[in-house]
Amino acid sequence: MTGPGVGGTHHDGGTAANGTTGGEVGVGPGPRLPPDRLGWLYALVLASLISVGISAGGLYFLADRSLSRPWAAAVDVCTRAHPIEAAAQSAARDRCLAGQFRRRGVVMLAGAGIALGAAGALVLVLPLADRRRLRRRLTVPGAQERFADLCGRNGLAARHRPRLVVAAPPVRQAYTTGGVVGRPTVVLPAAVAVAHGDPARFDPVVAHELAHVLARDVAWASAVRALIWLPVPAVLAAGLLEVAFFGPNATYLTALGRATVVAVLTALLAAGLLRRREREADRYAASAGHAERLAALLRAGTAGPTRRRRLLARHPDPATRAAALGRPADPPGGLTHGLAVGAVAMLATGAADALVRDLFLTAQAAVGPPVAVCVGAVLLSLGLLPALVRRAAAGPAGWWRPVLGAAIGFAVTAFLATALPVPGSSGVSARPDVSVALLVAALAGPLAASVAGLCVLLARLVVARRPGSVGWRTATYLVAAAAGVAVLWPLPALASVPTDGHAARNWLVFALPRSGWPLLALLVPVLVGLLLRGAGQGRRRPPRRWDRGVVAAVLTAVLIGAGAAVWRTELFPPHTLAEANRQAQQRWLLCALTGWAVLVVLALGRRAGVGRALTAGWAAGTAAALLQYAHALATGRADGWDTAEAHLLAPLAWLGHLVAVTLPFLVSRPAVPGPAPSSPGGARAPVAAVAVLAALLAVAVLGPGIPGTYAPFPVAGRTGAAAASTAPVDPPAPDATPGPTRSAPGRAHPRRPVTPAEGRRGAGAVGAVLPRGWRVPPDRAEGGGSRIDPSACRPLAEDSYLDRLGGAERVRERARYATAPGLTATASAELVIEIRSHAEPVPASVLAEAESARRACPRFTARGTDGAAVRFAVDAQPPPALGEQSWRVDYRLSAGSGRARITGRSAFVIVRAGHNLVTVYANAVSEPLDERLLGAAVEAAVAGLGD
Amino acid sequence: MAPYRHDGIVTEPENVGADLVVGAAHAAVGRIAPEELPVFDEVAAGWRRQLSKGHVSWSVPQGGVGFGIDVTLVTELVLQVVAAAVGEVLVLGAATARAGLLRRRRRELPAPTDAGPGLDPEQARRLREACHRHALALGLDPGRAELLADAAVGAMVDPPDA
Repeated sequence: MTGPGVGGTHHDGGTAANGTTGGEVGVGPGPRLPPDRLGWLYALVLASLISVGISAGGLYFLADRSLSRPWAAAVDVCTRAHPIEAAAQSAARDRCLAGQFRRRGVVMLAGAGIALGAAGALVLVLPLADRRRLRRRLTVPGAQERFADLCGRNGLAARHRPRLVVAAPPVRQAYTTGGVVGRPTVVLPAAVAVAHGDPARFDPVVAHELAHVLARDVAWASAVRALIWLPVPAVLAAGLLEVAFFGPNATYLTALGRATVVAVLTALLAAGLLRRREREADRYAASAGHAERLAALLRAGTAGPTRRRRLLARHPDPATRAAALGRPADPPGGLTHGLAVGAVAMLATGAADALVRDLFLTAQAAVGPPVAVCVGAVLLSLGLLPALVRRAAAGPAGWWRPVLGAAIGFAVTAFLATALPVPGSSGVSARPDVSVALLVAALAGPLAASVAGLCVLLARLVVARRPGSVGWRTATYLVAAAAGVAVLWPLPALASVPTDGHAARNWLVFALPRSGWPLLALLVPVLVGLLLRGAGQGRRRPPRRWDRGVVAAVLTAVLIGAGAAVWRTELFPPHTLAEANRQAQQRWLLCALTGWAVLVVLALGRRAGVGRALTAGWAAGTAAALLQYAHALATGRADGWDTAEAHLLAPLAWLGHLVAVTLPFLVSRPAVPGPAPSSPGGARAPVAAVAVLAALLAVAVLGPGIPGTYAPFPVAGRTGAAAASTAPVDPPAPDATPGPTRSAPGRAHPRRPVTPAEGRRGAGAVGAVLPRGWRVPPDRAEGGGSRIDPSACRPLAEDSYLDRLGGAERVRERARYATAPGLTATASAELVIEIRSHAEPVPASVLAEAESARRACPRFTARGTDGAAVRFAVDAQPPPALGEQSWRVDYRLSAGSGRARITGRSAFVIVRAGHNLVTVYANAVSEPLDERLLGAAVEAAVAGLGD
Repeated sequence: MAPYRHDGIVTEPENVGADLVVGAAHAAVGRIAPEELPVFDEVAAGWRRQLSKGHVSWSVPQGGVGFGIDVTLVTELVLQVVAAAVGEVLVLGAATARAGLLRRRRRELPAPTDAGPGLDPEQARRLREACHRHALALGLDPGRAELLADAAVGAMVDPPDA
């Protein structure tokens, strides 16, 4: 039992409170709450672990050249054929890229699976390792008896009672270990066990460890404690190996930076979880009556972690722990909590977006945003709400802290995620831009604050009206998550704001109401209304009667808002489509502002809490929208579901977002109306305030208009025109207009010598058959001679069979075309056309000699002056039936080895026509050789001679 | 010096130094932490095993969910204090007198062969001073350090079974 003078402070374990909504327990005896199980924190760690896995999978994909080179080549080829600037071709581009992106998505998914598997393995392995360390055990019967007694007092009897092991030196710390199945094991060092007769030394330590057992997270904590040291070293090691082997690479370094940020945040979060867990155990031990003894033990303890390791430490230093026991516990859900939740929610949102975009590229518009937004909303709301409920139960607390924390965490992580994009996502290119990232962060932060503000309101309402009800709490969690989806729905559109503000505004005005997702926010006023009908803790249920002041305020606002909308339409009917569009948006805005005015006035006043103000605002906005829709129906301006969408859903969607961004500013206001009865005299003030505010807003909307709120109908081609001005300017091909391939069947090829002009024309004629993305590249210096090995291949490699004609050559014209450098500069193709004309007819023996050279050389290696070697395997395809005679040789190129091997194809075609030779060299690296293009080029060059 | 007997264990002559330490430590623990006597023999046996392996590992296992505060068995401290003091005063003195050189042996504490059944007053004084100093260095408060030094030296000056 406990020592003299303190035995009475103990409570029977079986009478512990259920811990759902009770107040925080401070120092000393009192109702003992079981330790917070921190499920939300484990969920955050799990989400960030999955994010680490996805990032690591992306990193591995980039590092493995056998995977990333085909992907990069596909990006180059597909964006060449379907440029990013051509919005109309985005679907074709996505189809072209889908296969390679899916491969990357699968690798990312595998990364997430491996991360989860590793965590699962840690859960299984670490308890075994802990058990292995306990081979030297001591027998202290008195300790077993006292331990069993304390277990019973804490409600851990029979099969729930943990095992006790007394460990011999060098074990000096008590700890608890255990697997997923079976009873946990509390390990006490011998120094504690032999003190079983001294409650001051034995009981606080045991109570602390029993708190871990009661939290039922011993196995999960095993995995988390190893996670601290796993993600960062693993990511850094993989990244540094890649850099060491292949040198720094901007794309890879971007991915490495992103993965490192994710890994570091995960490690810090895991460490924070363990510290929080220990604080909870301390709190539990203190609430069991051991506060003074525990503080004494802590003050006598050894020094805490060094400053360097403090961020990753599992405990605060002993002095801080002891001091914390001496003051009331901080309510949960503070600034740090908000920061962690915001950061992880944004991390997971980005990871989910990257994964889904890759896996379902062709359907990304339909699948990507819902998945990403749902992940973010669920993590934000379910990460915040449990702690906010406990915070509300603890009494009045600073509510701005969790809201600000969530906003900052979300915004900072959005900045990092935008500044370090997943290569290949966000419009294929990966161009980090700090100004864009800052803007996205500035827009994302308020959205997170809106979700947090909503969670604060719901947490306060459910604690005030339905305390202790698991059903209502569950309903609150579900509604918060659903409403979070509605609030965060514009998040994907924010990414386009910096690059195309018109597109983002068009999306908000025309696409947002039609998506249907914002309607989830309608659950909030329904739930709030139901909660407000509850009795509240310790009070009788209020009689069901309407508050005249609130009703009058709502009616006044509806009268002004809907009246202004109808008045405008009746007195100034639109004459053009643009005017109709402008008036429609004015009506939507008027209805939304009507509800918003009611919310603000009632929430800031003393008559209604934020909850009642919210339901009243929703009622006012909905009534105004219904009235103006009824007017449109009555006057024949509305018909069918589409018009219902336009007249009803748009104002409600706008009202929802107005309410959401306003809630963070109302967190300090009472959530429920006070007990003071409303007096008729007091009802006039809110009515007057609502009337004035609604009238001012109506004048502003119908008069000068609110800047930035009006979006004209999207004009086709705007995006393309804007993009054209920013498109990189390349030297144009001689005739870059795509057109049908010209063929010259039956056309007479000139056998006579051609003039230089005719030669230039023939070489230049190839430009007409080139597809989009080809250009005349800048002149480049001819490279130095390569060393050919074996030497028998030199005639073929150096085209020396053509040298015998050199003395009689009269014309030699050359044209070179190449693909524009792609986003990843991986795939490229090239065409070189030469027209040679000679004084004498070109003898057939030239091509015979070329064929002999080809047959004599199955393969060769060309080494440049820098030592780089390119291997050529000689092959032959049928030559085109052009001219008097034609010949062709093909090469399969390869350079490098292993997974860094680069491959390509080349073809060299010679057409002999009287005095003339037409040669076409085609080369394709990391992409297939376009046989159709080669044939068309040869044909065009030969035909060009005869034009 | 007669072999140290405790709980029926009769040590070999080469372990007589360890016996001396364990015997003195037992006396000291009985004075300053008698509640640890039930586990003294097991802890001392572990200490001997560690000693025979050539190094003493006092590292704490990484119990990642640990209490956060190290709690050390007084027996551990006493064994270290007495071993260090004996090594410093008796072994060095004997070895220096015999060979004039500092002899280091890692496997075990060498037997202080020159030490008789009792200590001369100078040795006892130096041993007590060393025990006190090492005890303070290992974190014992001055009062317990005094008790430890007195008990340990007393046991060596007048062994319980001598």
